[in-house]
Amino acid sequence: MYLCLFLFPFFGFLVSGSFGRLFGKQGAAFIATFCVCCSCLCSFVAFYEVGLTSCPVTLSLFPWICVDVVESFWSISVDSLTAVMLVVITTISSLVHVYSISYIKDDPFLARFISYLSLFTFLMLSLVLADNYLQLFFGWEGVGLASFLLISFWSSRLQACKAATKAIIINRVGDVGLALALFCFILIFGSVEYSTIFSCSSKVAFCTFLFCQFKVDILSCIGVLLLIGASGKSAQIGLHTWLPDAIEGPTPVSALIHAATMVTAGVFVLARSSPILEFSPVVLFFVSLVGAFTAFFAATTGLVQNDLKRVIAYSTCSQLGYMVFASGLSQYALGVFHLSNHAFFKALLFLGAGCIIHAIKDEQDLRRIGGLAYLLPFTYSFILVGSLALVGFPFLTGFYSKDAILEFSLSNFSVTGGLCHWFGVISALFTSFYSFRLLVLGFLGYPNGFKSFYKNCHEAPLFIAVSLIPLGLGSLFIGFFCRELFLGAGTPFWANSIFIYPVRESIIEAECAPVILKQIPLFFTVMGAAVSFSFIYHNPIITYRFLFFNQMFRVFYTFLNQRWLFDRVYNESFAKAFLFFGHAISFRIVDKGALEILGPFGIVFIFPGLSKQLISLQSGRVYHNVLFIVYGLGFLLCSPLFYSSNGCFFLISVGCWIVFRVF
Amino acid sequence: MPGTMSQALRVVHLYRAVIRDLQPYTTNRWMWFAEKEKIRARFEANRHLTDPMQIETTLRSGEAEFQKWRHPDPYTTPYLFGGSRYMRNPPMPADGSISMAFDFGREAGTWDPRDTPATGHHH
Repeated sequence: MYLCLFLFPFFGFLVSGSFGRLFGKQGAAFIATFCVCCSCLCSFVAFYEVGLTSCPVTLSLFPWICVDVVESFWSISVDSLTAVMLVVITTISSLVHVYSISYIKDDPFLARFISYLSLFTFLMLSLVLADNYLQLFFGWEGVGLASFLLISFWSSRLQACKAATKAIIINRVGDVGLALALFCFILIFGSVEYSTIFSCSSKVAFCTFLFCQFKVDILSCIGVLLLIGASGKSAQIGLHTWLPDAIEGPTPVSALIHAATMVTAGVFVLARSSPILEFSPVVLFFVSLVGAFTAFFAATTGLVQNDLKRVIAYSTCSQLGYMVFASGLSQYALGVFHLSNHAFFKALLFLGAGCIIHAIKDEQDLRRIGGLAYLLPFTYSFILVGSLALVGFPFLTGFYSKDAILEFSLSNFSVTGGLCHWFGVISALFTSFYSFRLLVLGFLGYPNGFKSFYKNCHEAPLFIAVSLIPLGLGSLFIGFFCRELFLGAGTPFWANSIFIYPVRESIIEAECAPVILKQIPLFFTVMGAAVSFSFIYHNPIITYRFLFFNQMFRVFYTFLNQRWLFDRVYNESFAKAFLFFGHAISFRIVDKGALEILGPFGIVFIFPGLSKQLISLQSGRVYHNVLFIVYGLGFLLCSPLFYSSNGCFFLISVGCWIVFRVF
Repeated sequence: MPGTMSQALRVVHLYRAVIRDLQPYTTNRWMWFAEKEKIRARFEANRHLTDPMQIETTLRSGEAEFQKWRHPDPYTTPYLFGGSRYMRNPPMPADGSISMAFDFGREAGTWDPRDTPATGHHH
């Protein structure tokens, strides 16, 4: 069953990718969707077996790389952490497959699109099912490739190609971090297996080694490298710029990859590497700081974005920040719980956004949408549910994980915890503001779009509606049903898949925190909603006057709207320098210069000259031929001297030949 | 003597650009209509100008003011350049030099096994 779980999506990819012409685009799409749905069923069985009945499974399939002491096997290892990820990945992937059948049906390349989705699912499964860092790295790189292919699916669009290139380049920066961490594992532990590394990590805690001629703590060095890797994939501040641009891909791609699954790979790696991170307080400090800043930065940027999908993309970035700072505060289970909850309501929001875009002729600017609550009541209901779950409305899914993260950060009793708490609370305020702004501008406000866009506005077709319903139910109830299982005091669910240093356990403090402090996030959420309604819905003229006549507000708006100018700074400082290096040095001097001169072009130019010289030796005169015969005979007779004199004789002979040529 | 033809064109372009750029600032059409009237009134206030030099000065100040107040995130229609739908699966050339096989040539009415490449169907 576990093998089927792993290979079904790959089979779907092969069939839809290779035999799309045979089955037709709808046929290929149905086969791939069926395969992923089967994988989803297997995942639920695996969750029951591994998570609920506590029976971890490890299957070693075949050896992959066995060099010196390093032995790496292709294997399937399912523990509680993996089981949760399996359910999340395959459920969202199945629903997105179903959704895509209808959403992309008019596109002539549906089969290719579905095959990419299945390939992504297979690679994501190989990432989470790994029992060693090498296989994880394979999946890590693979999902990056699938993401590139899917973002640039509409490859005739320049913006899509640019976004895909940006995504893969920025992901490479993070991948370098993960690759270096992999090398460190081989150097220090002589293995890439989780079991070996995790069981030895306590033995090397606080030991040092030479890294770039600096004496550094082993686990801190590895932890920082893992953090860089996680930051690249999970779009943390500094390496986040690819995620908002990735909305150029079709909406199902945004829902599957850039909201629910791939971007959470970084959080998964942090949770998986908990036995390493727990022995390095410095790394934990950095992890929590990076997460908190990301949550805050992305929430502020989301406030003033006008693209429907871009608002949701920044929301994803902000929520990833919550997950990462929960990991930094040693609450890995909480981070993974928020990951699974977030996957449901964020996929719902993205797929709902797809319904809007589908209904009104691909319009996705919030300033040109409006009044859709009356035209698309079904979609409105689901986006309302998703938004309420996102802001942490009481007793919906987000409430049980997001508010818990803020509670745990408050009960951490450290400067880092306090910092994370207040960044998180302010981010919750902003999250509430932009979520309700989206609802107001998109659904409740006056219709601002073109009449032609509204004329054929229609509700979601069957396949789209069918895929929204489970996500809506998940957004309503998953948090309520799973909270005690994942976070309850003394829950045996996680077994040893997550390690928390006993000193850093703070569940009692979090449970016993004063109720008034627990209600701070809710208060800020309500405040954000109230501000949003009053300024966007009831008094839009005030916002307009502020924006148009207040210079300072305008500058601030521009700064946030242009995403804190990250892209501009990167373009000015890094991109130009790298492009210059790539073109002037790497391409013109090395590729087209040295390598060409020493390679094919050089041979083409040098050999005609050499051959002309050789031809000139063949003069046809007898005494020239006799001279060569004598010279060759002499060389043969003296060849023993060549061996005895270590080549000096050969050099003398060459010298004589040159003298002969010259004179 | 009235202003030159190029100045008249520049005024029209400026007016159109300003009211187009006003749209992203306003969250509904009623606000836009009201603000558009105010902009129109400012243009009308200078209708009486006849001196080309004075027109040039006023026009330049207007253009400078427009540049200063341009919206940082202007609206783009989806199917125009820069829009979210622009160049998504662009249509094939009308001369038939390239044809696209939709649904891998299996949907009704476009594919017949008896067709040969000579008939113009390239699958």
